[in-house]
Amino acid sequence: MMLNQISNITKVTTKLKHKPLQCLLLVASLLFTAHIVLAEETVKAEKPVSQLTVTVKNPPSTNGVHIGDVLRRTVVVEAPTAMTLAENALPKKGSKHDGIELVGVALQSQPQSGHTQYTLQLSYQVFAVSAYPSVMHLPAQKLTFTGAAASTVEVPAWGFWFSPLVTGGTATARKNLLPEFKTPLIDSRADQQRLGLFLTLLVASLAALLYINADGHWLPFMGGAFARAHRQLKRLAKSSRPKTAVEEKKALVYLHQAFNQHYGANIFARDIEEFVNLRPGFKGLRSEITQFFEASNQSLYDVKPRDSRQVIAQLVQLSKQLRDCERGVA
Amino acid sequence: MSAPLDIQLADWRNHALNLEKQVNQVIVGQSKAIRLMNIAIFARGHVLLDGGVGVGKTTLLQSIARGIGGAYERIEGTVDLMPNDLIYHTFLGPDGRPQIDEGPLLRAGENLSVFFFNEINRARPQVHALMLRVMAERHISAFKKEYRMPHMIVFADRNQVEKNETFEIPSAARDRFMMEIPIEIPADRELKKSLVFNTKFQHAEKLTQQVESDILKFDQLNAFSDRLQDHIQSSDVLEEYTMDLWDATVNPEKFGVTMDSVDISRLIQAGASPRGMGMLMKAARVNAWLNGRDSLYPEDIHAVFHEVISHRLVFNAAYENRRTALARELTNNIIRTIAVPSLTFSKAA
Repeated sequence: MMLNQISNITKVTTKLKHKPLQCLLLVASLLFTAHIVLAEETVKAEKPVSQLTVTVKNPPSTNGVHIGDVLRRTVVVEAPTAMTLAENALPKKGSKHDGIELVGVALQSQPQSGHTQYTLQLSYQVFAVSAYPSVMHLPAQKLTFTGAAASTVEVPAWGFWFSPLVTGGTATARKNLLPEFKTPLIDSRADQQRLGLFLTLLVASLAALLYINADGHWLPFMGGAFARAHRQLKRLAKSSRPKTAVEEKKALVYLHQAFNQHYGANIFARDIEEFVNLRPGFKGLRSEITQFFEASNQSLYDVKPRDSRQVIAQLVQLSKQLRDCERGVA
Repeated sequence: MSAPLDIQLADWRNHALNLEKQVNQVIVGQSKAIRLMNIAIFARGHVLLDGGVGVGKTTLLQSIARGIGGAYERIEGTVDLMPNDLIYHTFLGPDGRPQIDEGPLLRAGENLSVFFFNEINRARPQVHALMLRVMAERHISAFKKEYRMPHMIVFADRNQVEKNETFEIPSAARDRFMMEIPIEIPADRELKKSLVFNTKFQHAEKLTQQVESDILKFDQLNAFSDRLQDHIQSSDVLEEYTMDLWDATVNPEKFGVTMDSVDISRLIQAGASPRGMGMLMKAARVNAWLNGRDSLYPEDIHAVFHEVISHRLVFNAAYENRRTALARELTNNIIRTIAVPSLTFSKAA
């Protein structure tokens, strides 16, 4: 691995054809700083800036490269100000070499004190085909500098192992083909249970509210005798007709009918005890029921005038209490 | 000058309740029958008593007669009893010559308040005819003069168990009686034990003497009864209800009245008569007054409905032998079924 890094971060010294002594010095300095190479991906060439310094950063891995992969090399050149990189000599985008196509060329130059730093980004895409793993290379490139002292920098080829997607062709692939398995689903049972519980509670609460308060009889168990009497009494109380003794008697009839229906026979004041024993849900209203029968007797059989409006209003209240008992919510 | 009506009503009510209380002290387990007899007294109606032998009917009647005041007369119904036995009887006087004396019906004259006809169904129809005429008219001609019995109430007993040598009272005759009151052995075990082991109940005469005499003033009852009947009011709802009850005695299936043991559409031959319904209301008014009210309630009708109506119903012959049970079931079911206040009234209003 370490060796790979060393090889990846290769220091390339420019070929200074006319200055062999400088070249030797440069090699010596590289040897002295080898330990630094182990720790860093890139190493800058020694200055002075009177000479070209080249740093190449290659792709991180030399193996496992498949068709279609894009490999990027970054070349950083520090050149004396007097020297200029010839852009027209740069490799052309789209050029191919052994099935590897240069798909991107990007150059940046940054003037600095006494020199210029060129950063060249080369992107290669692998289109080579091989049935077996094989060594391939990103091609070597030459960078040409012009100026007072024209020079050329060579970026060496970089080898890597190409791995075919399928080893040995489709026949082998078929053999090795693993059956497609269903992607495991996220377990949402707990959430579903919570949602179901919530929805059940919601529906139950709504039904309970409806059951307790609704005047209508949308459901069969809401059409009890007292519920019906309560509706009739409310309608009677709200009607614009004057509240005469006749209306009062009608109101009493509604409630008596409800009592009769629950009792299963004609009920009178003497039957109240038996009634509450038969329908224990109404025990809590025993005194109110007794008062109702007394008031009813006075209204229906005593020949004395009464405030019919008030009587009807009281009957509406009583019928609501009785309806609550009937629905078991009192 | 007579006292204001309210005071009269209250005073008479106190007397009536006092009579009930005193009779209840000597006759145990018959409070309902005593209340009904009290009602009949103030409604001025005759009573048919229905009960077994030895249940205390005579003691009860004698106690009531003592409380009412006036004379108490009694005759036993037998197969050879003739109408003239009620009017007179003959005997040999001390001088050896035949003499005629007034019979039990005439003996007390206008002071007669209670006449007890024991086992009336053993007497012949001729006797029934005379008795029923006296009951209706409360006067009779005999010995070339008119005997008046304006304060008389007849209590007649009939034995429903033995049928040999009996003459059933026809329906038209039964209709003359305001009520048929059952006198039954008390159901309560302690009461029955008391009747058997308490020696005070062995001496009927002593028991009767414990009741205060002349509590009611028998000769004022007719006048007070008229005032009482005029005083008690009935609402239109109650009148409609009464009409429904009457119709239901004639045509019960029309009102949805049913019976478990018989086909109700084949049961009734004739329902209650207008006289019967009139007597029902008279008795109900007395009940309302005894309960301290000025108006009739359905409960007042219910209190006397069975006793006033059941003996007036004429059943088809196939059902006559079960009359007592069927009449009770029918009247109970009519009261349970006929609604008051009814939707019909409400719609009509």
